[in-house]
Amino acid sequence: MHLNVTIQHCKVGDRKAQKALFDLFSKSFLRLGFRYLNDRQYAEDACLEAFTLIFEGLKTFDYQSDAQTEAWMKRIVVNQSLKILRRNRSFLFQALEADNEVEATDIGIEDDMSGREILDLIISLPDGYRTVFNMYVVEGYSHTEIADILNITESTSRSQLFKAKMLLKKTLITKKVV
Amino acid sequence: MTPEEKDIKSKIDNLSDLDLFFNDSDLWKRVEGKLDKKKSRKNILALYWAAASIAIGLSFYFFLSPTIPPVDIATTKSTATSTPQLTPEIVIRTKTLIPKVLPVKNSTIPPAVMKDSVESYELNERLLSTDVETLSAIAKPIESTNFKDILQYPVVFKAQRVTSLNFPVIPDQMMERESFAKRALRQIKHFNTEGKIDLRELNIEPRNVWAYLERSFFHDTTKIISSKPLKP
Repeated sequence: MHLNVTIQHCKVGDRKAQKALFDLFSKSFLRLGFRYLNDRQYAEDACLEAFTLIFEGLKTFDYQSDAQTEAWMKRIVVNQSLKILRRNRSFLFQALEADNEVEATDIGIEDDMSGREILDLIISLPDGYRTVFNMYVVEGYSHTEIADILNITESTSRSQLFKAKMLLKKTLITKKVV
Repeated sequence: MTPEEKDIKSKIDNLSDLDLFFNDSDLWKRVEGKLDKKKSRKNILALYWAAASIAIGLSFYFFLSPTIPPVDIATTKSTATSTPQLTPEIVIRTKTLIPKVLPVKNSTIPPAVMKDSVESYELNERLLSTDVETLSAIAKPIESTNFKDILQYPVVFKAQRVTSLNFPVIPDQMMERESFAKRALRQIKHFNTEGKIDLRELNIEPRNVWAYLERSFFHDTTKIISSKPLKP
């Protein structure tokens, strides 16, 4: 069944269509939630809330393309993950004085590193670093968007990303030495 | 975004070995349960809303429909200046009570004329109540008429009840007197006081409504035609 058809059925509350949509996206959404929250239970909670909101929101959703629909749903999952993160933990963001040099930093991840290894590195980061890193590098949000969503300044977002990259680099170097 | 960042993104997007970690069938049950709960909550809300609107509608209906004729009391000071004014004039108007009259064929009914009365006494107040009742007891079938339709229906008479109460003046007790007057008019109407004028002599007790009854009689009958057939 095409996503468009599934969504049309979901709009009228068809339980089979809702299950089909859930099966299609549940795994990727759980991974997404886990990347932000570093906790299986929290990730499931975020997905639970997100799917409830998605099924409610689909009633008024205007389908344009599969990519647009998926992006909309992912945004809901990210928002729910951030909500849980805010509820359970506190962010500690520190702005850097010099912002210009932040963007150019290279982590030094080698090509043969698997996705799982990279994920382990990401989830080992502190909450603030990990959130900005996920949003900027993996989800593709701009610093302006991140600042708006997390209610921080753009420079704080840049500095968090820089610090995340520095920490990842340090971790990688330590692992290589060991 | 640097090439390295793009590489990280693609590797993360294609990650699948994490899927074993999650139990999505269990998660679906939770999602389904939550959706059902929301649905049932919506139904309950709709039910409550419907019940509340019915209750409000009924309360408005009962609030707006009068059970007894509302008494409108207007107090005016007398313009007489020669003697000190002891009692205010009280005017009680009863609302027109129109009895249920079923549709009548080939005949016109003149509208019932109601009497509003204003009477004043020097020391006492006189309340006059009028009422209209259908006197089915004296209903007769029309005997001589050429109209076929009218022949099928009996004729009844509509009467106007006139009740006068003679109240003593009780200073500073307007509210009490008003409620007493209401009760008296209701009671007199209920017991059909036709021909019971002498009761006043027998019941000279305080708070007894009959003590203040001056007269009560039926007046002004008007011929109407009822669609109810007469009992043999």
